[in-house]
Amino acid sequence: MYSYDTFDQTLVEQRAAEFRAQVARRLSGDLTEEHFRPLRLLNGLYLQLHAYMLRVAIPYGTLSSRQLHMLADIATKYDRGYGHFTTRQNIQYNWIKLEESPDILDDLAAVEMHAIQTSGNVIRNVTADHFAGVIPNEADDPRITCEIIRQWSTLHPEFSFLPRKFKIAVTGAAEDRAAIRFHDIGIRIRRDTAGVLVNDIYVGGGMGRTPFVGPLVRESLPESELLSYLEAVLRVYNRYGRRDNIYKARIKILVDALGVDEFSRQIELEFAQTRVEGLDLPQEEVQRIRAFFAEPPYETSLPSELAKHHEVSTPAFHDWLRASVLPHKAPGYAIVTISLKPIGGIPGDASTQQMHAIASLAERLSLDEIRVTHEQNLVLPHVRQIDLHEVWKALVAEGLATPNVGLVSDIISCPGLDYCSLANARSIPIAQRISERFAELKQQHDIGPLKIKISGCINGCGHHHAGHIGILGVDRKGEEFYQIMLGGSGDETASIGELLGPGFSSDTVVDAVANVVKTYLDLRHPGEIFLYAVRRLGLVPFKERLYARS
Amino acid sequence: MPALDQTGAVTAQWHVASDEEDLDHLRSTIVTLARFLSKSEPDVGLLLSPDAELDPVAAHLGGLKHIGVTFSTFKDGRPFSLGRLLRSRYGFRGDLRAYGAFIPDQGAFLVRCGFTSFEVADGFDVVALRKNINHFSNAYQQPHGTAASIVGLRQARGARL
Amino acid sequence: MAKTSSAPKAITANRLQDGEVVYLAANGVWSTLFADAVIVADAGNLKALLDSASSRANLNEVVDPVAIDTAGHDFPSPASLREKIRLRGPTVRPDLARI
Repeated sequence: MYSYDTFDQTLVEQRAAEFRAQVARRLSGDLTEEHFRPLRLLNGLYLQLHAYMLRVAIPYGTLSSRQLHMLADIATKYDRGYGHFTTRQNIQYNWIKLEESPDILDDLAAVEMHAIQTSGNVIRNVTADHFAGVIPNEADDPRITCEIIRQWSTLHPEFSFLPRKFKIAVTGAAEDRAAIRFHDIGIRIRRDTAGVLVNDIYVGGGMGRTPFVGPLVRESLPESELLSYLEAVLRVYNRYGRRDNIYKARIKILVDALGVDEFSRQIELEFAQTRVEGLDLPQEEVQRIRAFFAEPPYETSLPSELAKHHEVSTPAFHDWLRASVLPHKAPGYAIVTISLKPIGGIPGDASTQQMHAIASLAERLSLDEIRVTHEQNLVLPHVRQIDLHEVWKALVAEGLATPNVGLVSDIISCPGLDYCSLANARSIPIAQRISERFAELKQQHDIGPLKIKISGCINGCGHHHAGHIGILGVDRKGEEFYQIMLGGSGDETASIGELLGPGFSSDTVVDAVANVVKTYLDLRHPGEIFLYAVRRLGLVPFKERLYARS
Repeated sequence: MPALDQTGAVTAQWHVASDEEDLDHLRSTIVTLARFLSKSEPDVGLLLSPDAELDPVAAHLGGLKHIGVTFSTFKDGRPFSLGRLLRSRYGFRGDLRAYGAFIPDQGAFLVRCGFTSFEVADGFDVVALRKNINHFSNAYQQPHGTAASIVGLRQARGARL
Repeated sequence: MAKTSSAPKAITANRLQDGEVVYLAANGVWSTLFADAVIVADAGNLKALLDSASSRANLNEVVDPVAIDTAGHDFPSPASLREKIRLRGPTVRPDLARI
């Protein structure tokens, strides 16, 4: 993974020092809250229901064990012993004191981390396929592109006061695990017919109040021109994005208002200029960054032990293998997903102890690397197959071996009204109750792959529009109420979920979800997963079952 | 309301002329785009609003000595784009001044987008502005100005090895 | 937030330095205890209280003071679920309860 040179390191340290001075000016009264707020947001510090919340950047979801150990220490030293991994591959701490936040930034800088631009109207953390670099059949490791974009976007002087936040995601595989079609800019790296790396650029996707699947705006952009192209897009957005209404300020509104053709025309006009202004990286710099993502020194002639493990394993180990382990592009290795969704637990939370345990495990048995997924789980990306049993035992000891990755109890949930000042309803208790309802593993496997995503407000940080079952919490006359939508997906077949009908109370929503699942089980074709069944059947059979008596 | 240059030192204010008044040509004067386009007056500069379009005056920009750009609120970052365009695309080489509601913590961003002076309101924290302009040793991208970007510095370092 | 409701109100904010939930108590002091909160039934008194809460001195101690509905005559408590959660802590972590 990327490692800082003195320029990167100095910038992060100076940024922490700058923030320390800004906090001092705020605490002394020299800065009003109105002027301080955007500055604190530029360092990822929100004021939430109970305290300040700090969102630490985990660039493209990649961590070293040293970094994860530090994140664990921060949870103990400055917070209440846990952190929350988000749907954008970052980590959040919920109990932060403003007066201590500069110390946290200093601690992060010591391990090449920061909280720069994790909130505010700026370019946010660039996210990637969490299996980057290790999944078979990838055109290129998207993290190289992500690191290039990260540096370009950091403290960019022209684009730090955009109409609204700006989110970029990158995938290098045909399967989209990064939900690129739901981002302001989504980039798909592939090889053209001549085998040359090119970027397909999608612009104007998003969730929230007005969800959109981002249309393709530029096909086959040479990778060497990516930054000058992004400059063109961001400049058009900065100049022409709406600033009169925060609900209409994302680039998706501009793309939709102009139409793809006109939007594309304006970008190309600007790009015709930017591409000759020396904005792209020299090839030597691209190669320098690329070298950090070269294949690690995998052992060769390792036994491929998966078959053996399947024969002699205990049922519990077998269940875990089945859910958590994927084939690796290097022979003899495996990709391990760690579920942070224990039955009845809080999705995406990890305690200090758990984080330390995962970091130690990664150091010993995953070539010192961990990933954060978009679904609030973690990954050990370089595990030798012969070590899988030992990894499993270590995870069991920490309550991290729930064998439910990708199954119905692997629920994605925003923090909701338990933590977030924007929320209208709680989301975590709903996730917990659904998880408990479907705890039985045999039933989970019978149901098959099913992504339930829950948001506590229309901002959609739980990505409910992209859930096979999406649940949106609303406030109906002071009561928590939940709307259900079906058929959303963040993968390469991107679709926005369709609202099923009238919402459900907190008491009845879990039964409603169970009813939806039962309907699927009754009507599916053999081997047909939930998402495809919904797309085939449409909503009518589900409406009929759910609203039968009304 | 004083004006400051990039080092934070006081510099001459410009006269912001209304669209109707007669000009005395004794002071550095800037006028709105509408006035500039409607009549040809010697030695005037421009005061641009955040939504200004530059193509209608493109031919003139290279020869101007003074351009101001107004921040309607500090959250509206369109002046940064205007600054960069004026420098990199329209060949403006004169004094580019920020007006309006910008805050001290935007100082470095302004300089890096080509601004060379600031008109500040009474009570503006000039000390904070100076500190902000000088705080960072380097930046990943340095669209305007003499300091090399980190990319450029890496190349120079690599070339020396 | 039911700004136009006629329920008695308290004033709440977050403490600037650590983000703690606080309530405006007697003598203009900010307390973490809801029991200390001044409950106001009269709209005129409320405005005066909110104005003083938003004064410069206070805004260096707290952030975003707002009026919230209360319920219960003899033992008032925050009326909305959101304010109950702010008072007691996240419902899903009773071990981290504030009171």
